[in-house]
Amino acid sequence: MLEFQKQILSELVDQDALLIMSPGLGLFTIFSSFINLYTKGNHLVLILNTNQDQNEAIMEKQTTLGIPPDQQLQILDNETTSESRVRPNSMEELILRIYRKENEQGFIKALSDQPEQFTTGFAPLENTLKTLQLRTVHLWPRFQVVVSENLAKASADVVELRQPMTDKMDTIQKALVECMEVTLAEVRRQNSMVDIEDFTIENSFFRSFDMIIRRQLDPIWHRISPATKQLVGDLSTLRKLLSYLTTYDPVSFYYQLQVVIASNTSRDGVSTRQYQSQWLFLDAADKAITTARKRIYLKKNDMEYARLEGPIITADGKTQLKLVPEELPKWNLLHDILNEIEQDMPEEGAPVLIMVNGARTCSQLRQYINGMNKPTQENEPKPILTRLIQWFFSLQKSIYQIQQEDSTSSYNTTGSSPSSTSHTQASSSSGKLPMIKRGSAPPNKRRRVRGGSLAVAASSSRSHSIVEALKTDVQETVDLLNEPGPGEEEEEEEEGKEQDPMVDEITLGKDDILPEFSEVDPGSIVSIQTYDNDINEALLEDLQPRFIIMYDPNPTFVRRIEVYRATHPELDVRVYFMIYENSVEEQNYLSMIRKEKQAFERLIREKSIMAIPMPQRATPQQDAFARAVSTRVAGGQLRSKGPPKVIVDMREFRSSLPPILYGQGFTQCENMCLHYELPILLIEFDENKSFSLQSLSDMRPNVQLNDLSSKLVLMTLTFPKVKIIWSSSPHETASIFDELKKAEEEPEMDKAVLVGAESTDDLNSAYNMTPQDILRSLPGVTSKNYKILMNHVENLQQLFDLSMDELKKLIVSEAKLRKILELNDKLKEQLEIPRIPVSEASRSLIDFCQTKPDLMVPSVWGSRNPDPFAEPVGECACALM
Amino acid sequence: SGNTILVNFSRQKDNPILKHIHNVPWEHDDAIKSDFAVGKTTGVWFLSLRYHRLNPGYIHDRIGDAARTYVLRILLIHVDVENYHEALRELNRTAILNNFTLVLSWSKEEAARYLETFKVLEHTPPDLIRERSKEDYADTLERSLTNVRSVNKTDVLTLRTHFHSLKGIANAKADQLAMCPGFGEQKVKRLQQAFVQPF
Repeated sequence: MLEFQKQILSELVDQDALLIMSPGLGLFTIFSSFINLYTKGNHLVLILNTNQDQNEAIMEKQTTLGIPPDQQLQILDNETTSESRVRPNSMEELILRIYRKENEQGFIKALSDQPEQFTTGFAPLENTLKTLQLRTVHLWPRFQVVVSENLAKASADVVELRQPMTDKMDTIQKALVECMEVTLAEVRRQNSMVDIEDFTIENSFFRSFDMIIRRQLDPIWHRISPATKQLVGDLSTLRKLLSYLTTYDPVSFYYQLQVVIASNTSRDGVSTRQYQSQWLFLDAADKAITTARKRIYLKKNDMEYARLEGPIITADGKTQLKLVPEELPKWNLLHDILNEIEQDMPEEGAPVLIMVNGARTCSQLRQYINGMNKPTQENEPKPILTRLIQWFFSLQKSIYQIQQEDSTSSYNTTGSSPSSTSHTQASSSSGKLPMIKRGSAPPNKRRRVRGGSLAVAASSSRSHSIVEALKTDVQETVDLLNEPGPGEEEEEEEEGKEQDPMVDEITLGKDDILPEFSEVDPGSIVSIQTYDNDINEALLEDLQPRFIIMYDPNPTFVRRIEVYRATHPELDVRVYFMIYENSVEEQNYLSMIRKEKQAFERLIREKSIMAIPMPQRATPQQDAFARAVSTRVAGGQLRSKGPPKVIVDMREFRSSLPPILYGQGFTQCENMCLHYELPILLIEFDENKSFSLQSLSDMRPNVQLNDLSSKLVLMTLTFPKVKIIWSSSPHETASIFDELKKAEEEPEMDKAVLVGAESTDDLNSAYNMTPQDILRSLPGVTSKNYKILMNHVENLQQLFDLSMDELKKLIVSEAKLRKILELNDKLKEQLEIPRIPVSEASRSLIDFCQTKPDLMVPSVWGSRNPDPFAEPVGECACALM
Repeated sequence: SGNTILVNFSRQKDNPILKHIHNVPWEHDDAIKSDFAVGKTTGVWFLSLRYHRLNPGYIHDRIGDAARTYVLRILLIHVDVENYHEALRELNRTAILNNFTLVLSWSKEEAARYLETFKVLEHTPPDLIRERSKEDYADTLERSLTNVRSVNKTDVLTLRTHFHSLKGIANAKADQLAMCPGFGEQKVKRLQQAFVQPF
């Protein structure tokens, strides 16, 4: 551990505190050493807000330190919490409050390495401390004196490489930024009440911008027009595209652009309530799309077509495309760096570490490095690009198919004139997509086409053969796509196959896939890793790399390298730092550093002026007292049986907001009416959002069945028994419940549980809601049969693997089962009727006849004496006829 | 009087929401006990919170008169004050205890719309809320998969082009998913979890 880390740790042990430090300075190291300190004795340590990976890492660390497993995390009497996610009113606050109430001695420590999180809102630091029940805060920015001294000791050997982007990338970036600017200006224009200060183009490059914008718009969300909502969504789409520009290869980027456009243009048949993305109509957007295409292939009427060399593909003998795939500039740069490292290698096998963003880049670079040293002809695209292009064209085909399917299906259902106009709109706006312009199946792998046509030319007409070849090609690339692993096949393989036209296309199996991990430079170990906060701390220690290449910029990791170098002064570490010059990437990186610095400056200022919150002592139970002397309990005559309680159905608690007023809401209402005397629907609003059901701007001129209000009305009409509670926030709900309970008896758990439950098994089962939601959204799955399906299969994957027959059987058996059960119920009802054996019945009949004289049959019962009409004698005043 | 909303004109003639009832005709009928009769068995009592603040006793008197009148009794409230918490808490309770169904509106237009809707839907069977409206494969797929957090419609289209069917998507390997543009580790993990997690 470094000097400053030790200092932080001892401060933390001394006193309960909130620690905020710069990311990358080893928060996790401090955290785990801290845990280790307290796992020695008989302590219970609660750790909040760690994720699974972190837990595993802690466990692992403890095991390596030789702590016997029975002394690990389980046995531990104190508490610590990490991360900055603790907000007022959260579950964490509750835990802390209960903990403090019961335990005055235990410690609470909070750790965070995200200073930016503490700078939004009003007096954020003070409020967080209050929530955490803490009084001190320790700030450890990178510019703290001890930290800088510690880290400055190590000699710096950093090669900073500022790679210019290609002209086309630059054009696309400018175009996208222009789109963002226009969109942003539009948002500002439409909403004059928002605070303009934060709505800058620079801010909008960050993911946090979504939060800023939502926070500003949330309280007035109901007054915002759908157009603005669309714009806000567009901004985040554009921001993503910008980041893809530098991280994705040209082919994937163009594809992503296409998909974004395709999914944002309205499909035919669907009413165009959804507003079109405005940026799609800008010239800049058009420019971005065209340029993105030119990074892969050129069309005949493009200006560059004649100038640039490249393989030409032909389809139908009409359309000609010239493939001019562009490489990402960083790939080349990486190539050069790896060569340089090879020359400078101090000893055999010095580890080289390449750090990238995301698994995708990781696997692509792996492919690239694999193909790097293979001999390639001049003018021939790199194998990785060839593969990507194949992938691309196969997807083009399937997008085309999907659009065909969708348009035919919607024509079948609507087929009216408005739908056809919207169709032309859609196709005109998405007309830039090549598959629509071409109209026919797109050309595919060039060599395959030629080889295929040669093979079958003798037997059938040429055009026919090409179509066939294309069909099989598409089929095959699709198969290829379904094969596991990104490694796929090699170019040589394909050539070998094409020389032999007899080889069946289908044999492209797993055997053809070369092992993915071939050695790149024998003698050195190149490992490509992704940025992943807490795991990375151990990464550098584990690998002990001598060369580190930061393929994507990441300020946190820069710190980590600094710490790594300071802890290992004996290693001569060289760091390459790659960044695109004048790119959004660069700007993002710089702003991230600046934002962190500003965050710390704000924190330091707030720390110096804030009111230090007093520890909250447990408040006396005023509530309970008031209740004890309440006049409502008949002057104390009625003993309350305990604190008032509300019984909550945990099944609902776990559900992610059920789509109320849909099928589920309906059955629920049905069931509630069946089992409760007074069913109530609770409509609760988010505290931070506007308290209203529908925005005025969403209101249509006439009554629409699909409006939320119509559904609500229909529900009240169908179930007049169901009452509604409107609550503006969870707090409100609690107090309304409190009010209501005054007039009601306390519920009893056991009884409440039995209401409407089919069996006790129903009650205690915990369900995972997302898979269930998906299941219930499938067509044909109803509220009646979904449980059967759930019981029959383990998960969705299994369900999808069932054959049609099996599914039928399930559903049919369900219908049968229901019928049997119904029948059974009827039989049971009949069984309830009390019954007597025939012998007993006849016996009682005989008895009755023998004991009661029937005066109308004198032959049996003698004369009409006694006279039936005479006044009865004795106590009985009625005569039996 | 089958297709009209009956309005208790003696009480409601100055009510501004009358101006916003466009889609359904209305006529005077001072005999009705409620403020608006929007169906044979449905009566609506109207209350503006601003008025309630000045005359808190009014609604209680009205509610007292209303005993045993309609099957469905609606208390339509126009939330036209900023500080509504106290009043709403009380009205929530009053409504439930007196067998009234509370409906809130935040504008005159919305209140009028509720009146219209009650009348229009008087005889509509509840199929609408029972079943979802018709949709095609793309819609179903989109609605289904967007249940997974952070998956949006663009992602659904990407998944569809890559794997063609829901089954294909469910059986896709993690690294295949990770190769789809727009899919980061988180998204891949969430998606796979949804398919593999037991219900």
